[in-house]
Amino acid sequence: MISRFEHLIEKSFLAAALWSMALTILIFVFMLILGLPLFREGRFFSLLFTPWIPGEEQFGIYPMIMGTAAISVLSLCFGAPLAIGVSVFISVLQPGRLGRWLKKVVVLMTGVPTVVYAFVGIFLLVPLVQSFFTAGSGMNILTASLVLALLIAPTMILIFSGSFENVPISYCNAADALGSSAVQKFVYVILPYSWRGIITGLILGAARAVGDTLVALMLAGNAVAVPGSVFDSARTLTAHIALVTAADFDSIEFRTIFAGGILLYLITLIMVLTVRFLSSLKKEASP
Amino acid sequence: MNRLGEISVTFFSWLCALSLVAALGTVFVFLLFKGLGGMNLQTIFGDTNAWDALTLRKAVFNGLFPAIVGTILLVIISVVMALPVGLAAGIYLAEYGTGRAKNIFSLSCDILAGVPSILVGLFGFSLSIFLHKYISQNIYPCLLISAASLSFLVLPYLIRTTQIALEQIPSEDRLTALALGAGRLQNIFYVLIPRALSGIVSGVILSIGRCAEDTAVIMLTGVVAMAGLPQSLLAKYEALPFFIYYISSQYTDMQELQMGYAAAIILVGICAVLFVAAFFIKNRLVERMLFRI
Amino acid sequence: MVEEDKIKIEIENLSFFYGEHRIFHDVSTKMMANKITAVVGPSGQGKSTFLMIMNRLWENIPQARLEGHVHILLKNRMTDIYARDVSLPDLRRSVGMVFQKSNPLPMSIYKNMAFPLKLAGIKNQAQIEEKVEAALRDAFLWNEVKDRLSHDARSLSGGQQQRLCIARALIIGPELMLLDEPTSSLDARAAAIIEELILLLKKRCTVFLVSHHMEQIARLADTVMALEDGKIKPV
Repeated sequence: MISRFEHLIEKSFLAAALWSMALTILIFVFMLILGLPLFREGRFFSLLFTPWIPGEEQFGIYPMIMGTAAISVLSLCFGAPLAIGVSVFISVLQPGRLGRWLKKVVVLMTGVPTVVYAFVGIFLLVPLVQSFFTAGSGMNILTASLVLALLIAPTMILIFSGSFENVPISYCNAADALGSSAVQKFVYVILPYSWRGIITGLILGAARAVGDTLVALMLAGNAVAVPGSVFDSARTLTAHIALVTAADFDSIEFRTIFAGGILLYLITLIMVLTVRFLSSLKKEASP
Repeated sequence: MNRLGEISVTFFSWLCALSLVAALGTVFVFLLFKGLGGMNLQTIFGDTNAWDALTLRKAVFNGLFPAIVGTILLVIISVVMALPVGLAAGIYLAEYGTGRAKNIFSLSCDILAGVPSILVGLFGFSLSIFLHKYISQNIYPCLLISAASLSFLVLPYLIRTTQIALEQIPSEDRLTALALGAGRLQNIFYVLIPRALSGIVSGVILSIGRCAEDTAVIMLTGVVAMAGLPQSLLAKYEALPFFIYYISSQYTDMQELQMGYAAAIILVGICAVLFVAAFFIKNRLVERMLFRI
Repeated sequence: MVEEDKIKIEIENLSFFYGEHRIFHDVSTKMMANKITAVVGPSGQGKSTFLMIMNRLWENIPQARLEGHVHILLKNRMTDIYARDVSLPDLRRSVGMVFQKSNPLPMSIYKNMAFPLKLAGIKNQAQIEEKVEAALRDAFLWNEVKDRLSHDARSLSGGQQQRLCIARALIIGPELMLLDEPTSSLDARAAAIIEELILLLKKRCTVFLVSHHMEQIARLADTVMALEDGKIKPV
């Protein structure tokens, strides 16, 4: 019925899909293989908790784990409220022309290159932070988190807005007709219905924050000590990988970046699975 | 919820909206203010004559030209590598995939999309080491490796946009050609893909933008600060995003810094153009298709 | 009696547009208080929109525009409901609406009923319980739900859901009730109960009803208007 040629083409579709799945697995497998020496000597887990002092043969990535955690959490603290505020503006308070315009601006923001945000951050924000807080070089967790928040906000805004606008219109009509103000409608009807979308947005925002390299690399200072305050310089796992890759290939020092890589991959995996799980939860029956 | 609460929420929301716009505006204004002055032929071509540079007669040493060319080449090669695979996989997921298998593929796509770009770069780097050891001593991180790695980066986006574009075709339109005797493949190529074209193309354009702006992947796979125009696929090369990163910490005078600003403006310009193009294509092509049908 | 001759709604030179498309052409009409006024006409001509003009619910729709004046007798004063100082939530507490398809909120029956009171800022629990029971009784629903007030409102049958929506709209004491084909998605038995309800409603408020069923209109309406080609004609 169908020619061999067509059969071949259909098989190639499948091959492409399989290749993309293989790629996802390969990325992880390569890190495992190249990091194998670490497992053999049982050092993997200790690496997660020891500091990075090459001079003393210590190649732990604990300070970087703390760096990633600090910057990601702080950027979420700045970015999430901002995102919620803007999405309430777009979807609830000003769904007309003003909101539509702002949404376009937000979409535009997602197209601005990360390196440009970081670049402007260096020459605009760093001096500001330095003089305002008179703390060190101005390249620290705070500065990086502020710029990172601006980076992850647009994605979160679009996801939040999307879930607010997905609330069945019958509920919104009911609330309006019963004399609800826009804010009341948001708090009593829209918000309870969209909690899943909000958590998804937060997780995806966190994933972006954890996975970002340039902002942390250019703005957080890259010191290898465990940070003690937001004014300390810090290094993230991602920046660490970028900085160390230049080193001698066969050394243990080099191999340790795969430990960081494996950790990052697993964090991403958990986040993706959580988001999937959330969306699979049975949605409340629509009217 | 009382009046005070309502007023606070409204106030906070307005504050956030204004802050966001102000932040974005500040970024753009600052960039333009600092960089517009440097937008001239000298920034791009250095001390070399523009015509000589464009006809490849002379090399450019202190201009953005090699970086611009590097970025363009990078983008073209990576999209060419990613497009067939992404398209094919997207078609598979939309038209052939069923139940469990589709779920698993979709999950792996999501994971790939979520993997930090630095890990994709690390993978590319590991790949080049692997090839260096086992295939040819000539292989180092280079243009080809970077392009391949970038193609891995954008693959999930291409797959997803293709899949969604195809799945959005209403079921009546899917069945029309089949009812007239068309085979499955014929239906896909003659009916479905043209219908989904605007969605697919805008996905391609967004992938182009992603390739143009990425820095983490290329940092680990072959980009350097000074290489001139790439001599071959296996050579080192320059790129705009890396130049911006490099110059931010390595600039020695104001002129070099201004080149950095100019590079940022050019990069933003490229991405903005791509973005707007994707938006227009998404809408225009749809109209044109409808009129043809 | 003077009471019965009061004008409740006065519409002057009303024109309505969805973008470029004109829905109403310079419509002027009056509706009397404490009467049931019905609007009939072909589908898609704007009967639902006509209702929404009374509580300004159409303002959520982009590209919609209105010209002309609408005055409603609220709290004994003829109010221009499109005046700048009119508070939309307040307006909608005086003008209640019931939709074609019942729209209980995703909460318990009790919470649905208490919702408009919460929106209005009423906090006294005892008062709320009293009003909820009274409104449910008025809607002939109390006996059927009194033992399951905490159940999800969507577990009720279609007819019960619609009565719940009517009760919910009534609980805040509106002076004008807008009913958009309230029985069109219900079977004959459920529809009959609601028709009885509507007849009783006119004692406490004015009713503005849209319907397709000519017999229903004959049973219920005091005044009938036809909406055709963007114009209103008395029938």
